[in-house]
Amino acid sequence: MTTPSARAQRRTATLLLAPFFVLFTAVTLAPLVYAGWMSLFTTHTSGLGFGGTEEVFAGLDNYVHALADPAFRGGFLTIAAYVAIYIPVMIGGALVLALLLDSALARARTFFQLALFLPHAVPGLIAALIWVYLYTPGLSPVIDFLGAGGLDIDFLSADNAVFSAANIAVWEWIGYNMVIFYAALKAVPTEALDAAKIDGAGQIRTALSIKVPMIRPAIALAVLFTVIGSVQLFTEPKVIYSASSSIGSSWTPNMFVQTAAFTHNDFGLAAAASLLIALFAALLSFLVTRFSRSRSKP
Amino acid sequence: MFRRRLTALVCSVAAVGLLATGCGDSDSGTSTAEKGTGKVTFWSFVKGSDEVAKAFNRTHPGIEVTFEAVPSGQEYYSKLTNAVKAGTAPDAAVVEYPQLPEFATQGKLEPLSDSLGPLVKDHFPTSVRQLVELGGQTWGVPRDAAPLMLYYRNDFFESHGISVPSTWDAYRNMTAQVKKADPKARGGVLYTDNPGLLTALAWQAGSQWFGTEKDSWKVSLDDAPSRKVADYWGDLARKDLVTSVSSLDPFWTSVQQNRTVAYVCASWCAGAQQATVADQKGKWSVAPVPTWDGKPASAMYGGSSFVIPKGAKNSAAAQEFIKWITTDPAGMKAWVSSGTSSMFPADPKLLPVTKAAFPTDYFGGQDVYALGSKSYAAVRPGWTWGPVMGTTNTAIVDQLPKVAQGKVKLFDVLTGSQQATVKDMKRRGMNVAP
Repeated sequence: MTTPSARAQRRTATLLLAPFFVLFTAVTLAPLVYAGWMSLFTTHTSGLGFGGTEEVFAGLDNYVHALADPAFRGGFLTIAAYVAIYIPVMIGGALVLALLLDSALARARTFFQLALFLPHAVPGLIAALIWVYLYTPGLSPVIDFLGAGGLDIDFLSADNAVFSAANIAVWEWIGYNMVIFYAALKAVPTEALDAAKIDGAGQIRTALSIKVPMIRPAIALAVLFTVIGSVQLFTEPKVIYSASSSIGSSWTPNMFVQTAAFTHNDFGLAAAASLLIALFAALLSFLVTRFSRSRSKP
Repeated sequence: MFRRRLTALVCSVAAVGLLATGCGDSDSGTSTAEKGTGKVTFWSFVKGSDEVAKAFNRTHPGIEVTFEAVPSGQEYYSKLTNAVKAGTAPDAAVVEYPQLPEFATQGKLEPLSDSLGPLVKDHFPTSVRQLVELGGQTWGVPRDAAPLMLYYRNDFFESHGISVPSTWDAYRNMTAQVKKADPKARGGVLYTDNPGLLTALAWQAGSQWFGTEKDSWKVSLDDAPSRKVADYWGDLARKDLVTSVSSLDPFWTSVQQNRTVAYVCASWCAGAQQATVADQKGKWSVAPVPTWDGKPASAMYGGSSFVIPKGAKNSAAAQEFIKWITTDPAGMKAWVSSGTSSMFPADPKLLPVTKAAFPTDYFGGQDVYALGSKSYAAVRPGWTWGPVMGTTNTAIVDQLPKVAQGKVKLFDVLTGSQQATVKDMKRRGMNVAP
């Protein structure tokens, strides 16, 4: 075999990268540009409105309108409350489970790995539907059971919905992140662990002082993905809303967008709000990356 | 935009000259060549749509209707809106009365004044015509009406000596008596997922949430009759005299479990009641809906019309189809052929058709349709639905569960929705009278 020339190499690279760029353009860049375009227009009518509609240029009006809407801003507060509960519980839980699996004491590792990962294999919408069944008074055996014990909880009320939504997400994602952490733990060099053992460190000490610091990049990555995912929280609350409207139709920013587009027929506002969410997520991921990088520096 | 205006202009000029054009088929005095033929796609979620399409195809060899089942609710309306935008709209589609003005003001419907307008004028009473004739145009053809009635458990009422209320004052007493007779039972419901019934009760009390004055909309969700109704039902809910239910499913469960022994609903509930709670046969009766002053007054809770979406490819044939399914006795018969529907035809002349198809044994031989007929005649005229009902309804629904919890007053929910509605209408460029 001869070494391919630089030109041939470039051609191969182009060929291999092309599918990615074609898809990236078609399903990410083009919709983004289209949303940007749409966000600058608003549908206008006049008088009683029966004379037809026209698209008029609105400049940044849709953005101003979205930012001025308390429902849209409130969505971000919901996300903040959700993240404050969800991330510590989910990441912490996944980490503990991974460390337990990695410890010398663990039995039947493959079984637990699979069992904990299994919820993630259930599509988010199906998972939400199952959980909402468990949350609905009159249907749920859980509520009946708690009620029999004198505990009346409305999982679907506005006050409890953050917990209910976080609970579904924890159930779905804890196994997935555990697998990532576990894989990272497998890559921790045995010399380091042996050295700790010789120095007299116990299981817990080794876990906290050697293993966790060594897989910090994996944890940081998981937190980053989780934060971005949380900003886009939609499926779980949407299904909760369909069971009880107490959380409102614009509980999270993405729900606000959906309501604006498909209930209020205001596509310009929906496009502007979507771009604001994307911008917020980008900003947040930048901050998280920045923060975790400075923390993981030796 | 310009092209659309131009087409409209050409069409109106053509109409003046009585020229045969493709701008829309005028039914009166046209040659047979202009009668619709060909394929018609038909979107609907209402019961019996499949049967009605089949029956039409059997009797109309020149037209082939293809029925496509669609989901009900908001999803459907999004789907229809998007289809019109994408140019893939069906030729005929169902739209419920509350959603009709929004579709019309979004420019998503073909105006029907020149085609089916005369038909609508001939066949339907004012109260229902006002729901489809807006801004001087006809936008849809009514199929069914949904007049209010009171449903109650005659066995429960009899054994506890409770009399059937004819006024809302008496209704309040009734709910208290029911609760006293059986602490688990209630004499009414408040839905927290759907403002439909609440709206109907405001309408019955004489409220007019929307109206038009010359070139402006008038929005008054917070008028005096609405306040009366909201305070009344909010009070019943707060005192736990009626059950708050999150949707129809838990409502029917409560009926099955003997926890709801009386409720206000539209005519369609009769069919739903006997289909859902078959084992309580003979225990239910119907009565006129209570009124504020004892004089007959009613309103509609539900009902649907048929429209031709903008961009429909075969408007002429779709008109034939819509005409048949809304005003032809054979068409009406096809709707109720399944035998369990208590659909109430908007065209009063078709009443015998639906009445004959509805078995009366569930309600102990009571003439449910005669009662419905009286209620339909008493529907208050003048009600119009608003042009941004999506916004109006969401603003109410998002707050209703808080009313059930006692955190918010029902009337404040209406004022909130009033503000949201006016704001949205102004944003869309409509004139709103102060």
